[in-house]
Amino acid sequence: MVAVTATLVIGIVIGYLGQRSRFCSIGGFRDYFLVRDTYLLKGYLGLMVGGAVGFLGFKLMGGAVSNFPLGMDLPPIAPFIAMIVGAIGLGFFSVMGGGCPTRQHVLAAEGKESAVFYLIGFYIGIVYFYLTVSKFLDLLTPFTL
Amino acid sequence: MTMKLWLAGITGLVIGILAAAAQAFANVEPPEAYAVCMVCHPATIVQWLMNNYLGTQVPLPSAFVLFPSLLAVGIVIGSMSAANRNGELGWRRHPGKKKYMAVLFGFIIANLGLLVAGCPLRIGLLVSYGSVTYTILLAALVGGIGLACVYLRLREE
Repeated sequence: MVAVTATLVIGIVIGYLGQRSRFCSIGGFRDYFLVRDTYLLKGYLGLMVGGAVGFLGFKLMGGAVSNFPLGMDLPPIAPFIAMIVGAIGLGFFSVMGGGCPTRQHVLAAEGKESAVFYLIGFYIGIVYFYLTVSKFLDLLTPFTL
Repeated sequence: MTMKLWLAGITGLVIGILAAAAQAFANVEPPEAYAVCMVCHPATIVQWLMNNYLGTQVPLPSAFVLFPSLLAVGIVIGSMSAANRNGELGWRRHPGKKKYMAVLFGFIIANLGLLVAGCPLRIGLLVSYGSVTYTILLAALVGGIGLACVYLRLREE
């Protein structure tokens, strides 16, 4: 129950700050490529700096930061290729869709109609993935180099 | 003024530190760097509902077997209260075609995010965690964003 409460509290903080700052993990790169604006990109860099400092600091303080740093954690080749293609698609379609899933949740909460429709598709997509796509992915695992 | 220029940076920094703290002290693991992910956490709600009401056996992360993650719920509450406090809360309609394209994009992004096992936030957190796999995946993600920007430029011309 501690984990569930922690996610709720973190969510409220991210939601509040995200609404005020327009934080978007995709928008940072998009704005930099299109108009050389670095405002949102600072958010993503801040995330990585905060994560690195946090994981290292909390590990030194005795927190549960297992397997840090992960290092060469490469998966089998076939799923890895699928993941790379997925990441390219995730970047491409997130720009076309208008932002990352976090930003879409914030916009939907503000009352933006297209973001609410995005979330309808998003949650239907999750159901579809677990009922169909994940079963096909299991078939990829045996193909290793 | 300076504070406003860095607000997104400060938000990112806070998210990174909170994600690390939640893993280190609130047991939001395994897997690693899992405390903030806006694909995996909403998925735990769907998985939990599917397992409890549709009788499926979709495996859940150990932290969320009894009750799903409330990260997405928290984000909605937080951003609603921020929007309400600043007079930005209100229904904004969009043209029909854009709405239906948004459904399609949401569907595609959920599937691609679950394939990668993370949203762009978790990819960034795993890079901070020292993962070589996710460093390569971040490069692929940025490549995809670049391709979309090239496409948008060409469409404008």
